[in-house]
Amino acid sequence: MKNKLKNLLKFGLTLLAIGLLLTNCEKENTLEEPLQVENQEPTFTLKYYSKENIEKNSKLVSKLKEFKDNLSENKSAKYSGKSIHNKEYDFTVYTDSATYIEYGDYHSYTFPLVQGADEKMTNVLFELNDQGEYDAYLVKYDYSANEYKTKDLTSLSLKTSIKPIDLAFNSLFARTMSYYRCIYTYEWRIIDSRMRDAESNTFEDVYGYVLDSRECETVYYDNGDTKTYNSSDGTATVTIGGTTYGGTGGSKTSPTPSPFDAEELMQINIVKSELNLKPLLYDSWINSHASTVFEIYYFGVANMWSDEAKVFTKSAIDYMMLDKKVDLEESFASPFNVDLELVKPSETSPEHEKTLFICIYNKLLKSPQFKELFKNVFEDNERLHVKFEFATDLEPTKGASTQVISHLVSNGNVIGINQTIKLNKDWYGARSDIKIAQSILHECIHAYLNVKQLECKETITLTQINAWKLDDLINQIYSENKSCIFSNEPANQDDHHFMFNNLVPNMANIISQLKNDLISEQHQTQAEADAFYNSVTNASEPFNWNDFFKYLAMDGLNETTVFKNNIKNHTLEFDKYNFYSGTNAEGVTKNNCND
Amino acid sequence: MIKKAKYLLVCFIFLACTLNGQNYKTLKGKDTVYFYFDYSKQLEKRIMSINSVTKDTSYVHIYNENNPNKRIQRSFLLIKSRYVSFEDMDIDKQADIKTITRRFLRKNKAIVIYPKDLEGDKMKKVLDSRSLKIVVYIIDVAEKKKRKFVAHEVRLSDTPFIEI
Repeated sequence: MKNKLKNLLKFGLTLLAIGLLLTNCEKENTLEEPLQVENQEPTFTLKYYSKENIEKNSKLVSKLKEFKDNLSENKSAKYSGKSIHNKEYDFTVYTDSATYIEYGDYHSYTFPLVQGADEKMTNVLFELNDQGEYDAYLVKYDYSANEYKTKDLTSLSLKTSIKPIDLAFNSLFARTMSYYRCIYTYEWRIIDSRMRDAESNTFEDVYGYVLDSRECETVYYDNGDTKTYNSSDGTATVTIGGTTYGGTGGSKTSPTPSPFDAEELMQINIVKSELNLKPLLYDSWINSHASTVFEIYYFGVANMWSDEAKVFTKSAIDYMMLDKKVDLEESFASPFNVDLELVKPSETSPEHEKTLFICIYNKLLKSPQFKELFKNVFEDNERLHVKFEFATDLEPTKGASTQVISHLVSNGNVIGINQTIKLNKDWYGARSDIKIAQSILHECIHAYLNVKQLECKETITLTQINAWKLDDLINQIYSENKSCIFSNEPANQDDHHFMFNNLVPNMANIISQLKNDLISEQHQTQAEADAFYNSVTNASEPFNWNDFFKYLAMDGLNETTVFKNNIKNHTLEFDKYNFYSGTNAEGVTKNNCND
Repeated sequence: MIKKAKYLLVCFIFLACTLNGQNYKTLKGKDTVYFYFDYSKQLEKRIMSINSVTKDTSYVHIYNENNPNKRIQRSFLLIKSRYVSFEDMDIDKQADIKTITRRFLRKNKAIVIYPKDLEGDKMKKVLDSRSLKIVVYIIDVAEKKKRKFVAHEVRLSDTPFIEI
């Protein structure tokens, strides 16, 4: 008996727990339900659909295809004269987005036409009929997209017409001189909701206009195969060739302005075609990032859609689709994709160090050898994505630092590497312009070497290592990094060891090209007047610019054993390093870079 | 007795705070630091260059850290020439030279770096303050005149290097 009671109690508690659980689930679900207008029966829903949503409706897709094919045929008839050209359908419908309305069993899709923002708005409406098929209508408004967006509806002419479209384009209205009159009403409806306050998790309603056609009264026509006319009870139909057009009214649509005008659409199409962007992969992103696509268009035109520009742009788009920012012009000139958003001066953030950084970075980009260095040495790398930012958490004596933020490994390849180059704000304020340029170059090389390090750690097998040929310098360079047999340097100095052994002459050469840009003529003269004193021979040696750039290129490599063995432990070398890099390079022109 | 102890403790805390504050303020606020260079083991002075126009000889005073317990050693350079920087040369602003006394050194201990301080926090603070454009003087004991020292405005440069 006692056991029975216990079991009953347990059962009761379980039921209570399940009940509570269900109550919670119910609450969560209510948040995800589409927004509905209160006290409206049946429920009413309005949504903006992307191509992805539209393509889920195969019946509509097939109707749209038929419609678009007929539109194209009609357009070509204008020029070829092979078939009759119907002026009324001489337009381009934009089918990558639509306004979707659901009202009980009824639903409709409204597509905009590609037209100018000041032209009178026209839409194409597809609505589900009783037979489960889609009827098409042409909806014409007496105001433009600009007027609709900027003016109050009460100040606009609300003269509207919704006319059935014969999808076969049998010149329905050309022959009928149609007059399909309905009573049109605009309703201010809740169409969406957006977060008002993230902390309190409260939402606010977003409203939009819905055009409702009711009580369609009549259809006038002057010619037709079969004529059935009914204007009673708010029903209006016309039957031509056995097909009935029109209906009982009740069409629901919403003014849907064209997202792009004809020129913009042309630009988008050129970008798609030049870059061979596959619709399924790219269309959704293109439609929601139109302004970026226009930037891409202008970038492509400026570079005459060269093969190099195309390959670069496609790779840049792939990065952009991962929500990364890519500055096109700068990235194209750079050996990698760069996001300079945080270091570019703007009207709201015009800090001097930003202006200085961008000026010096652009000077580096002008050096043909800057890009060449990366091409020649790291030619098998995918384009990297590097973000620059100013930081205040670096050691005071450190000018910059390059960090791998994240990366992925796929099929044995390291991909999607995100790196950030942090620039020490205070350091930049106190160093000469030429030292800053050297520091940027130094960090850019780190960005590439980081990839080598990752490839080594994550993907390279012993078989692969054995397969490498060490025939030329580049292969030697690769082997040094890829074989995972780096140097005997302490932690974090492998890259510096590699730079010291392989890249100092190249780096010196690149920086030397910035001499006249970043060191004033006066400071060049002053530097040249200073003769280096050779403490071994006790004789003066004329100032030597090659040495100046050679020792400057060694900046940041001081903590390696190769530096110690080759420079620090040799009095003359160390004196030269101190004279050229520590004294002259540090002392010359500061904060003076200008475009 | 307890009252006295409390009083002493309060005084001690007050003094400690004041001294520490002064120390920090001296390096960051007054922006001036003096290096006392006495040619001890790790300190060297060499000619760096001779200017063909001004005929000025530049010297470099070098301190090479040699601490077996530290992986990264530093090499500090104090470069003494007629002009501290190229900008100063542009406007013919010569490096400042002044005479200082032992009393001055005693009174301004906080801003004087002795050889024993070169590896400590005091030196670290100086290096960290470099971006604030601190004014650096060298007191070269070889230039001592009649119990007075000569302080010469110099430029500080440092190079970290590895010592294994």
